[in-house]
Amino acid sequence: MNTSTAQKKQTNTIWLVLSCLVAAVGLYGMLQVFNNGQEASYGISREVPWGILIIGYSFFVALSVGTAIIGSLAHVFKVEAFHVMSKKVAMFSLAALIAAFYTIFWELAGPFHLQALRLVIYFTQFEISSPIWWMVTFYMLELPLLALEVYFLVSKKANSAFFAALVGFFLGIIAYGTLAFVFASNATRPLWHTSSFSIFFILSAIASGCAIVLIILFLTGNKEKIKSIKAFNKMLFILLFSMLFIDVWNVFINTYGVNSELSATMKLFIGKGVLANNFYYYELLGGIVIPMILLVIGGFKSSFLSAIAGLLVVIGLFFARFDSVVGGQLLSRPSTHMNFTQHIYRVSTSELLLFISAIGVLGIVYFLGSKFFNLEEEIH
Amino acid sequence: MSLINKKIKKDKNLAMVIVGDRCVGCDACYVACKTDWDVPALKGAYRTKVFEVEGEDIHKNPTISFLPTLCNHCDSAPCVDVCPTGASFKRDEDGIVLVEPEMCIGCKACMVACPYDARYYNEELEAVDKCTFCLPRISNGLDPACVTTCVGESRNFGDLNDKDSNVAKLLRDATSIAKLKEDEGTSPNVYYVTVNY
Amino acid sequence: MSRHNISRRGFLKLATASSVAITAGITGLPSPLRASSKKEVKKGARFLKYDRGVKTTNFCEMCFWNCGVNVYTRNGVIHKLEGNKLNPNNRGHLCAKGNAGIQSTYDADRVQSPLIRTGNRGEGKFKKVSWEEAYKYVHKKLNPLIDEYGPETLATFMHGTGEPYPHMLTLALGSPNITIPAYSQCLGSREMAWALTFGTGVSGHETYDMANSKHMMIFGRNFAGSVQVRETEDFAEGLARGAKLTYIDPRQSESAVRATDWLQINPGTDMALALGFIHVIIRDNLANMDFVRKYCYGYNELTEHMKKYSPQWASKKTGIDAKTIERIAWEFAKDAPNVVAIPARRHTRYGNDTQTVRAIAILNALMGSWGVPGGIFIRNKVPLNFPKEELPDAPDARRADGAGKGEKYPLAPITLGRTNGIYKATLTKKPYPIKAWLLYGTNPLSHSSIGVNGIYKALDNLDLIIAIDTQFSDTVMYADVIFPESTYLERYDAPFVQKDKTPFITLRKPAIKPIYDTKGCFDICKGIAKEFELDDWFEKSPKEQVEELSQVLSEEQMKTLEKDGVLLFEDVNPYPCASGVTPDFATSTGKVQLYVKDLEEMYKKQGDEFSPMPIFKDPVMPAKDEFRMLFGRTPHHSHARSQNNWILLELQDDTPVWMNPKDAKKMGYKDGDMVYLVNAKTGHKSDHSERLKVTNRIKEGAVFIHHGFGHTTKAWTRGYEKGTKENWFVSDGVDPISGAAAFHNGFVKVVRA
Ligand SMILES: Nc1nc2c(c(=O)[nH]1)N[C@H]1C(S)=C(S)[C@@H](COP(=O)(O)OP(=O)(O)OC[C@H]3O[C@@H](n4cnc5c(=O)[nH]c(N)nc54)[C@H](O)[C@@H]3O)O[C@H]1N2
Ligand SMILES: Nc1nc2c(c(=O)[nH]1)N[C@H]1C(S)=C(S)[C@@H](COP(=O)(O)OP(=O)(O)OC[C@H]3O[C@@H](n4cnc5c(=O)[nH]c(N)nc54)[C@H](O)[C@@H]3O)O[C@H]1N2
Ligand code: SF4
Ligand code: SF4
Ligand code: SF4
Ligand code: SF4
Ligand code: SF4
Ligand SMILES: [Mo]
Repeated sequence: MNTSTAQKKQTNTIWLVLSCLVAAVGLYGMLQVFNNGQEASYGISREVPWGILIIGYSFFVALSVGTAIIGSLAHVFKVEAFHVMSKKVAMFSLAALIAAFYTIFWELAGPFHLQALRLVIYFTQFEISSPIWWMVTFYMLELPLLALEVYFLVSKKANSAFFAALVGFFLGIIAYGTLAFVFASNATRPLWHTSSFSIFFILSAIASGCAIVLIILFLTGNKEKIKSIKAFNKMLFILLFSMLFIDVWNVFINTYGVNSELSATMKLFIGKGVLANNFYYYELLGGIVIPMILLVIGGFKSSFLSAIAGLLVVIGLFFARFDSVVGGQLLSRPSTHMNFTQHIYRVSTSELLLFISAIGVLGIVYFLGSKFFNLEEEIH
Repeated sequence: MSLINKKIKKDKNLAMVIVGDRCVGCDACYVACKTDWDVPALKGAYRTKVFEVEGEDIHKNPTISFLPTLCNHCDSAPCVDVCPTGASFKRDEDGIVLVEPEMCIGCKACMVACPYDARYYNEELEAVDKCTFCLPRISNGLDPACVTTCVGESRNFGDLNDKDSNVAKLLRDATSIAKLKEDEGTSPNVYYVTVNY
Repeated sequence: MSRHNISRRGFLKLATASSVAITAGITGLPSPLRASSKKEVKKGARFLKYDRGVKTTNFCEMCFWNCGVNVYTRNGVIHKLEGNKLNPNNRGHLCAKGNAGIQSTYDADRVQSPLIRTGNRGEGKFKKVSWEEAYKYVHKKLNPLIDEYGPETLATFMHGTGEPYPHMLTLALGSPNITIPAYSQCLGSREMAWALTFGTGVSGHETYDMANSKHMMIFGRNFAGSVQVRETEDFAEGLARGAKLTYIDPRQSESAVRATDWLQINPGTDMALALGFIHVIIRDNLANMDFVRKYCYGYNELTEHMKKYSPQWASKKTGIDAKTIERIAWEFAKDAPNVVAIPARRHTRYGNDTQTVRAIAILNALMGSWGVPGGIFIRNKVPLNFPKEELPDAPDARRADGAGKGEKYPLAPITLGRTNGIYKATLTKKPYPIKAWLLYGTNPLSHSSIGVNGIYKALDNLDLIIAIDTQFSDTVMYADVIFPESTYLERYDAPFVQKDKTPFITLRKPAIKPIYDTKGCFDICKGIAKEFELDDWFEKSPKEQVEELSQVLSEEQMKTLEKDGVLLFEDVNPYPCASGVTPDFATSTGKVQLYVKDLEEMYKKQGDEFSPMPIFKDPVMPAKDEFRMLFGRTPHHSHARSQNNWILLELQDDTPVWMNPKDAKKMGYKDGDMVYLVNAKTGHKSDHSERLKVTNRIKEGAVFIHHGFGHTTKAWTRGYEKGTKENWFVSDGVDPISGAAAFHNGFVKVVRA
């Protein structure tokens, strides 16, 4: 063990402690739920039943699937020099998935009442018409697969790892596709019920995977990283460009569309709409445009700028999920003869802290994994 | 709408027929329903709600009308389709859509899927809850609570297969019949009619 | 506020705690495994069971209409209230308030034991005392006042089913000052006008036969929103059967929605409109001359009198097109006699209320709508001879409120009194000091008519305030001693006997034992009386009175009453005029008085307001930057008493200020702005700001809010400060004939928050 590895190990421990601290903020939310119940602690309502915890779930799953897909891509298409960090990326993917499960756990009914046992029902009921049933089934498969992949990588079983990555690639795409379908299948939510919705969902997930890889690359400071940085930079740029196109086009077309419900929804995102600020500044500008500019400025090879771009993309992804999940629910009316009522969704402190704590959970799993599997020792 | 088209076969064709212009907007139904079914004390927790719809006629005069809403016990119920556990289900014998609280994990997908906002999360049950067409009452020979109390005698309940039922008669006599959001393909079982005597 | 503070479960206490625990247990345990193995059998099985529980018969006390109620209890806990199908007051239906009545009992904010004030008045500091202590306290405080000022220094306000007992107590103590707000705050002027015209009022259970009517002409009686169940049903039923509805209201109320013609009248000009209709009817020979010739007095005088009230004139006053007035008069007359013209119930508006309702009554007389289907039916008595109750002799002392023969308001009945007159007397100490109040089920701070400063000052003049109530209302908070009454679901009351289309008797029996240390009004009044050695007057308890019915009823009848909770006496004729029977018109002329001879004298002495036939005078108008303050009931609440009921608060917990778009534009306001109301006369500003509702549904120049909100009592953990108290902005006018209050000449400024 050389000194730099020792140093890295120390940093790892610091990160781990930090993660624990971040995770600890969730205790407040849990305490609130325990004492006052979810209803009193969360900002969700009858009309907007899916709030930041579902958003958080779809966000972490995006990170998990995005990184899994990127990892598999690198594996499968033998992207050079990726192997330097394949373990870390796999570990991250696993950690993000666990964070996702953690987030949704708090969203489900009665988390303090052995809720997990009700989940058994999934595998006994075969509700094949339910997108959620499929989604959970796929993720239940994805989880052990990711764990296996990490295991194979750590124990240097290259072939098995390759195979796991390959299956993970398809499963990831399918699983995330079903998550997108969980939203898109709702005919009554015109914002989600469009063809571009699922595509945007998947593209943005892959982009976030790219972004995470760029961040990890920057943090691990490896000599061989330059080559991979270029590849991932370009990939991210292309993804961002397509996202930009879809996003803007979507709003543009649908605002002027014939579907009055959809165009009413679109007005939430533009002008003085309640989500306009989110959409303009966080989702488009901060999450897509500025990262693209940063990538270009860095000539597709600056590890620092691409890491910053990556960070912005991840934050942008969160807002993109926020906007679409909330935006899909804000307007409703019982009858087509009535005007829409615009509901309000305000994130409560408990919800927010539980979401933030999930970032800590991600960190804990990731850095514990790093420690346990000695991921800092990238010896080849 | 659903992935797999479940064929509906109902022995009884239960329906609520609401005579729209008899509703006076008194909200007695809201309270009767909440008390009978121990719906928790919370603004968003209810199984039925009456909307006061303000509008304007062609002469720009103000208009208002009242719209009682409840679960439509849709024949093609998106809430049932999306439920991952089978907690939401439609009874074969009479088409009533129910939530079995013991099986509900509270994912709220059904709430999102329902075009009518007919469901709410009941924390005391730790499950999603909704109108049951008062199944406990009707299977014991009573009318639904909201129908029983309806001050305007706007709400009517019964089996459409029974030609002599009040609801069947109302549909026969109706000068206009509508259901909510029929274009959603949900095939609701709550009818809104006008009747001229 | 967290849901847990207001959860119904909290109120149901231990009795249900166990069953709740079981439910919670079931949902939390690994039942899915069980459920899945026996899926077909178990899934949804819970929805097939329904335990109705034990039925007790009762009648609703959430408002003064007293619908028949069946109370269902499970394991000693009231589970559900349902309308009694056999009770003519509601035929099986309950309104929102009635359905929410359970909460009046399971409300931890209730008065839970006798209390004596320890802090300053209104501060809300009380100490728990025994019943004996509380009775003794009354004696100790009241006796010296009676010694010094005479027994008439006690004034008693009562509203509710227990009225006979404070009534008895007050008379026994020797004070004549009993008053029921239902007269002077509510329907006094209206009843006066009907009585002057037809010899009898239409009563608190109005006798409009709307279900059978061909044309209802309604002068701002909001049947759909100010709900009294049978009336609301009849209103909906009449419309469903195709009746025309002419609905007159400066505001588009819940009833206006269904109108064939909604006439958005200038406030305070209903009389002018009625006169316009009458003018057309006489001018165009549209009156039902059969009825007029047979039964009416003064048609010639009326013809002469009405000449000046042309539709063009009426149009100028009311803001309603003259053509429309003519058309509606013709349409109305075409369907006579099965038509009915209906005034407001709470006719405490502009101080011309008696004369306004007189004009409406004349309109009915000209249609011959009295005693015919679709018009006004005749009430019949329960054909039984109940044993006469003995009452103390009428006290010698003069009343303080100017009601009764030889007083300022000779026509005002002394059995009901002028509540507003007593307030005034308390405030001014004239004609003599009122030093003690006994409040039974009334809340003057929300229904007075002497303005904000007046009522608090009046309270300051009192040495003793005794309250018998179920809740800590705003006024109860000012009491020196509080006697908690059991709620209507916990107590007996005397048999309820109602004159009606089909008269009936109904019973109130307790569904559960009192949850807290409370008693019925009879016991409370008797307890007080005992301290004064007057308890001999309180002979029979309500329970005994119920049991005593077996002396007048047959065994069969008694059985029916016990079983159904209602006993109907069906062999009666509510439509004498339609079947050619001459009804008894108990007026001084024995006829229907188009011209009221009884008023001639006063007319000569006191002028136009007392005219034997209505003379229109323009209402006082607000200044340029002021608005007329209008208010009315919301279907979601009962008076100023239900705003702490969580379920009703869900339906409404605020009082948006309605304003016409033109006014809003002038003021530079837009929908949703927050505003305060300021009383133009007293300068009193509302406690907190309220949302502005900009809508064409209210006439220009007026603002509207719902009655009953803005409570200052902190003991109401849910209702405290919800909405605005309109009572601070109403006027303190008096109708010169009836002596009842006039609220609608109150003016406000609307200022931005
Ligand atoms: N400003 C204004 N004033 C008004 C009106 C208005 O619209 N605006 N309306 C007028 C009209 S129409 C009326 S009828 C009157 C009504 O005036 P009130 O009769 O004074 O009616 P509430 O304000 O409901 O007060 C009734 C009191 O009775 C208590 N109570 C309820 N149930 C029981 C019971 O079972 N036993 C006992 N002992 N007490 C009980 C309640 O707690 C409450 O304190 O107000 C009149 N005054
Ligand atoms: N939900 C509910 N129902 C109730 C009650 C309750 O507290 N809650 N209380 C009961 C009692 S005791 C009473 S007295 C009745 C009262 O019932 P109503 O007699 O109907 O009286 P309000 O509701 O006070 O007012 C009715 C209408 O009068 C209108 N109005 C105001 N000024 C004028 C005017 O100058 N001309 C005309 N034509 N209309 C005008 C108002 O806009 C309002 O819509 O309600 C009874 N029913
Ligand atoms: S109304 Fe909504 S909850 Fe009811 S059956 Fe239809 S979709 Fe399901
Ligand atoms: S919330 Fe419950 S009933 Fe609704 S979809 Fe999820 S499991 Fe099914
Ligand atoms: S049918 Fe029963 S459950 Fe459904 S709204 Fe009416 S009262 Fe409520
Ligand atoms: S009870 Fe009947 S009349 Fe009243 S609001 Fe409900 S549906 Fe309408
Ligand atoms: S009208 Fe409503 S509040 Fe009044 S007695 Fe009837 S049910 Fe009770
Ligand atoms: Mo009243």
